[in-house]
Amino acid sequence: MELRKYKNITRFLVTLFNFFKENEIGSSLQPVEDYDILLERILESKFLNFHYNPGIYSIDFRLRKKVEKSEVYMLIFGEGSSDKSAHLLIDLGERDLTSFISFSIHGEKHPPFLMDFVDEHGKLKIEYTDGSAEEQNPDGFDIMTFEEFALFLAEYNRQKNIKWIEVD
Amino acid sequence: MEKSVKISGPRSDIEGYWVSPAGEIHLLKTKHIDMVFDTPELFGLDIEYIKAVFDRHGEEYRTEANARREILIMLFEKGWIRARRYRRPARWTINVYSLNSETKIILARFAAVMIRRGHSPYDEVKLDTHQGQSMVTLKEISQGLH
Repeated sequence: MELRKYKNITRFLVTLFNFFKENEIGSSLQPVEDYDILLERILESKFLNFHYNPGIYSIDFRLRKKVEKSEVYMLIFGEGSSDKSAHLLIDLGERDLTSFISFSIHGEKHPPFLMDFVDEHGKLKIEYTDGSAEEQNPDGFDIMTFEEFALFLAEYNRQKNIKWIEVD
Repeated sequence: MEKSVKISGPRSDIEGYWVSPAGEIHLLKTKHIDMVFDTPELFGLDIEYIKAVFDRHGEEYRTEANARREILIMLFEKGWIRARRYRRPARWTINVYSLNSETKIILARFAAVMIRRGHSPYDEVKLDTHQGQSMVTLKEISQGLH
């Protein structure tokens, strides 16, 4: 299924990309030439999988139009008054390799797009790496609303970079 | 001073990195212990203390033996991450004291930089923590190690 069919993921990414443009947040790796085109390439992709570990949320997908050379973008943004930061990593795999985006966030609440994975019974199914699984009520799972996400972005509106030092 | 990642330039076959607790990536041209000797203040250490550790073990300064091991373990406990890419076999070793949400984010950024520098996302990485060792790929690290 096309990624854009997941309405919360789409809203999340559109919000995030608009935030990048408005706040002039650039990629610490390969530069983003056109945010709108990059977003469209992601949204038209085929959704494959979602997984998360506390602090990092990752969505695997397959590009509709294959690329011959991989593309890696990392947009890091954070508070002006501290070192706290979040990032969106976009890795577009070459040829038949899968692509992914991963979003990191410090905090106790999960990003709002997790609501896309609530099942028909209103539960989130969590599959653990040891093979076990459980269902949780999303209310008890502490997922940000989009309003809360907007407030989070307002606080994290500064460009951050990976610091790279070559040692002599 | 904050610097963006340089992507251009040749990539050597053997690479070593120190990653600070704040996520700064230091590309080494020498051994990890040499950087500790040359810039002890960066690691919050005093050169006399480092020399005393080597003296206590009866080892020549900068040699890779017990004193080095003691100092490196202490740095891992303070949040420093050591990464080395070996040529034969082509594999990474990354030492990190523990895997938690903060170190996973730092490692994810480090792995993304390495992929962008031209390393395969499928490079094998031996992750060495105080809880044990595991084999993962650079891609898995960049995705947060699920």
